[in-house]
This record gives sequence, structure tokens and C-alpha cells, in this order.
Amino acid sequence: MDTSVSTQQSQARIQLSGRFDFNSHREFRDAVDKALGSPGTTEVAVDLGNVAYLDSSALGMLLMLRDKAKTSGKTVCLANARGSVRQVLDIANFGKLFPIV
Amino acid sequence: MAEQDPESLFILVVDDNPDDLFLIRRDLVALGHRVAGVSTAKEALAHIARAYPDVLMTDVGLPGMDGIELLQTVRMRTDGSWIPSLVFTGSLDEATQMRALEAGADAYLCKPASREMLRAKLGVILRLKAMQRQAEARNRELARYRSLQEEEQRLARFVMERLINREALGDPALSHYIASAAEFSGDLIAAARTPANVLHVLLADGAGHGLAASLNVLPVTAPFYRMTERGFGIDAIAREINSKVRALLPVDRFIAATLVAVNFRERYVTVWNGGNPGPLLVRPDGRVRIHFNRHHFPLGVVDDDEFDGTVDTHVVNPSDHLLLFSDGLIEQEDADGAALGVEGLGGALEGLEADARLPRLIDIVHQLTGGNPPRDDISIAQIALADSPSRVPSQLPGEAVAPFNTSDWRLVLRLGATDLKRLDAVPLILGAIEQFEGVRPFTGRLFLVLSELFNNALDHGLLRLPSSLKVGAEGMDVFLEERSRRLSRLAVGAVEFELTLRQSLDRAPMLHIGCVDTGPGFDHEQQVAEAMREPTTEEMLKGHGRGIPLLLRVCEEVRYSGSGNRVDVVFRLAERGADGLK
Repeated sequence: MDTSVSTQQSQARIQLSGRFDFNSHREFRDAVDKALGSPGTTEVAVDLGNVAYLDSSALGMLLMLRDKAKTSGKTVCLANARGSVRQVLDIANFGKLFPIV
Repeated sequence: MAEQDPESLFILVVDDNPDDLFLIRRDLVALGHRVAGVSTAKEALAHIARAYPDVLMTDVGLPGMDGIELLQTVRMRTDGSWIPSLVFTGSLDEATQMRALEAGADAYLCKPASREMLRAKLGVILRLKAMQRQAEARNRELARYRSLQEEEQRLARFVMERLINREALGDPALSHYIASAAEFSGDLIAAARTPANVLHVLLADGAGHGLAASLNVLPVTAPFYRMTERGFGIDAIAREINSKVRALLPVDRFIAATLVAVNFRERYVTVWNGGNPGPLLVRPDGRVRIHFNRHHFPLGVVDDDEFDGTVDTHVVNPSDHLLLFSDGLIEQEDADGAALGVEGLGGALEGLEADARLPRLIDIVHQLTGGNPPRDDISIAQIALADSPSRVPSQLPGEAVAPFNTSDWRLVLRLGATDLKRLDAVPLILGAIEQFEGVRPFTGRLFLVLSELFNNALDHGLLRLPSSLKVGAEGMDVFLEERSRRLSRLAVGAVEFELTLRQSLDRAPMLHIGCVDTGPGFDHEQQVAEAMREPTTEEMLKGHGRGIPLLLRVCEEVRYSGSGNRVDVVFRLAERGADGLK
């Protein structure tokens, strides 16, 4: 999986592409640290638009991000979840935990 | 009041003698009837044109048109409806009486008639009228029943056609023909292939014909398809249908049936026949090679312990054809009472190539019946014994079909310790199966399923990593570090995946995925029980334990067995609801 982090005004955006599973743990964690560390941001958006697949470890990592964001007083939203990625999020009821935009 | 008295009649009297007319009118009124009197046939016809009287009474001798001609004219003009009529005259002449009766008079009266005689004669007419009213009421009732029944039949036919004729019989090896004696056919032809590509064909003939017979054959289709799909032999299928019919239908209802299995690869056919004429094995030149003439009881006649499932098996030449037919074909008589018989049928096929046979037999049926519905249902099925390129499942007319039709595959992958370290199992499997038709739209969810199965097998089965490692903010890091350390030291063990596509005619295709690891397993019962509940938000926020609930939501079925080291799931390869499939 590839990750990139960009910041625009108060929002840090983590762009993911490829397969989002437990192998992506390290990359994702680094991206999360970077996003949460950027000064002046109040929200982290995870852009799933280019993610082909995700599994339950990926869901775990999103929960980890949510936890970390909360302790630093920031919010997390999931963006561009489409097709099967969106289905997996729905199946796991993630709509209750994250705004999915 | 006069109108309410059923005995009170409106009587048109025709008499040119004013005295006679006066007397008759007086007597009729005294008897409680209403009377219109006219003196000529012409006036009478004008009156009838305005309103039909209950009774027409006429003198014979009238100026101009006489009374008998009047009756004839009235009968012509009131085509279809009946005006009771009574002729009176002074003449006792037999020829006149005959003329009057032939003209349609219902009674005859000599003048002068006493009031009592008049009452008696009108009594006869009243009884006739009452009978006619009854008959008309019955006719109306019959017409009502008829239209009611036609409507019910229309509905029943609609349903039956979908139930029975859904055997659109798309199998390329099969051609068939059914002619029904009544609205509904009591004959049924069904075809399906076993997982090993053995073609099963059933030709069933319910006792009698019409809706009742059609209902009779319904119990045979479900076991036929279900058991064929599971690869049962025709003897077992016949036995099962026999006990179904025995259990479901009244004692006097049974089903003649021919069941054949065609093993294209091994080139042999198996025949079980109860109550139908034995099928014929026909050579390429149209001559009969074998007449299978072992006869069992029709289905539903004997109890299970008396049932004889003996089948005949013959090695066959792939260029031969097998011909199945119901007795209607050989017993249908032509106008002179001559029937085809099995010999006649054999003779009719001689010299005919396979493609020409069914059309020829249909011609013969038309000739025998003279274009009328046959006396009994007639059904014919011809099966090509050469292996056909692919199986085509039948489908309901007008209904959406599963997005693919011919896939039938199985994939087994076993990864040992060495390759588990090296290979990424899930993308490997996904890459292979997405090549199969109809899989690609589901790769997202299949990735989830395969990942859960594989990670569970590897992490917890072979590497024995406890989920508790994942707890806490750094839990995942700890877990992954431990995972890679243990994986690099893994010396023995394996994970095996088996994926099988299972299709049937009327259900969505199902992908069965089995995953076994050589590890010690886990307490699956408790975990599955917990996972069945809707998880609370707190539970979802835990670092682990999401796998099984997800599997349960994505799959039709999740079953752990062994010590928990084997899991079998069923994944539906069709969107729900959109296709009308179960």
C-alpha cells in the first residue's frame, strides 16, 4: 500500500492506495503520526478512493487512528469509500464510528 | 297483487269471433290471469313484437293468416325463446290437430271449453314454464361455473407452466416434445446434470391427464433436481420420488416414469423405467439397437421396502441416441382405431437421421390425432449420447439469470511453512479465482473473507499468536513484530484452502471455501456465539475480535469444525434480491 499525507487549512488528508491490510500497518501508522502531528489541523480525513481491498486489520488500524486522534482532540472522517470498500465499512457498521464522506 | 302471483299469466288471445273472445277472456280473468285480446294474426304479431305474452292462445280459423301459420311465424320470429302456445278450434279433425302440434302448439283445446278444462290445460303450460325457468336457471349457473372454472384454470395453468415448463430444458444434448390431451399436461420432462457432468433425464406421466395429472407430477421435480445436483444415482432418485409420491398422493394416483443417466465421458447409459414404455437406443441410421424393456412398478405404487431400484446399464456408441416416450405416443389411435405401437415407432424412425426424428414423430402424432388434442398426453425426449460441449442450466422464462452459466470449478491450494514465509496467500488465491466468470464483482468481499480465514489460520493456528497482544495503543506493533519473528522461525505446518463453486438451476451460485490449518485450533464455539450478537460500539473498538462477526455478515454460512482448525464458509456469488434467485 502507498500512503501520502497532505494538509489543507485545518484538515490533514491521508491518501491510501492499493491493498489496505495488516501488511500496511507500519506505513499507515507513520502516515497517521504525520497527519496528527501537522500543526493547526483539527481533522484527519482518510481518503480510501484508491484502495482496492481492505480487511479487518485495516478496520483495526482505522480504529487505532480514531483513538489517537481523540487523545489529541481531533476528529477523523473517511472519504471516497466506494464499491467493495464501502461495503466492508457498512458490513462492519463503521458508519456509527466515523463520518463517511 | 296479480303480478306477484306466479300462477297469474299474461295471455294473448287471438279470436276473430267477438263472442268467443269475450267468453274466453271472462273465464281467464276469473281464473286470475290477465288477458289481451286481438282478432287477427297480424294484430297478434304486432303485439308480440312489443311484448312477449306468457301464453299465446289462438283460434285456428282466422281471416288472412290462420292460427297455425301464426304459431309458425311466431316461432321463427322469437328465435330461441319459447312462448307457450295453446290452439283452440271447433274442429276435432285430426289433421288440424297434427298441424297445430307440428307448428309448435303445446296444448290443444276444443271449443267450447269449460272453465275447468281451460284451467287444466293452462296448468300443463304452467308446469312447462316452471320447468323451463328451472332449466334456464341451471344454464345460467352452469355458465357462471364455466367462466369461474376457466378463470381458475387460466391461473393454474400460469402457475403450472412456471413450475413444470421451467424445465426449459436447455440442455444441448436433449430435444423434446409434449402434446397435451387437456389444458394441462400430465406429462413432464426434466433434465439436469450432476456435478460429474452426468446428464439425468426424467420423463414422467401422471395417471390421467389435465390439471389433476399435472398436480400429480409436481412431487417428482424437486427430488429430481435436488438429488441430481448432489450427484445421486437415478436408482436413488427413483426410490426417493417413489416414497414422495406414496406419501403425498392418494393411493389411486401414481406416476409412470423413465429415468436415464448418460455418462458421456465413460460412454454408458443407465435406465430405470417404471410404467412407461421402455426407451429405445437408436443407431445413427435410425434403426433400433436396443429396446430397454425391464419394467418396474410406476412410482407411488409400492412401499419403500418393495421398491426395486434395479437399473439397466449399457455401454453406448456416442453417435447413438436414446429415445424416451410416454405411452400416449404408441397408443394414440387414428380415426380407424389403428395405433403406432413400439414396432410402428421403430419402423417410423428407420432411415431417419437424428435431427429428422422428432419432427417426423410430431408429424405422425398430428396425423393420428387429425389435429385434435390427443386422447392421452404424449411426450417424447431424444438424447444425444455424444458429449456436448457445455452444460446450460435451464432458466425461468423472463426471469433474470445469474450473470454466468457454465462455471463449475474447484481450486485447492496448500501452502507449507516455506511458502507461507514467502508468498502472499490471499492475493494469490484471489488472482486465480477472479479469472472465473462471475467472481470479479465480489473480489472486495472475497478478499475480506479470504484474509480472515488465512490470517486466523496462520496467526492463531500455526503461529499461535494470542489476540491479547493486540491490546493497547502499541498492541498492533507488538503483535506484528511477534508475528514476523514467529513466522521466520516456522518450520512445520501448512494452511490449505479449498474453493468449490456449487451451482444449481434455481439457486444463486455458491462458493464454498474451506480453510484448514495444522495448528491446534481454538475455542470456536464461544467465539462464534459471541459473534452472533450485534456488537456494541465498545466491542467494536477493541483491537481484536472483528474477524468472525465480519465473516458471519458477509457469508451465508460459517462453520468451524475439528478443534477449530477447520472453517467452512459459503459465499453467495450473486447480489441479493436483484436476480429473483433463492
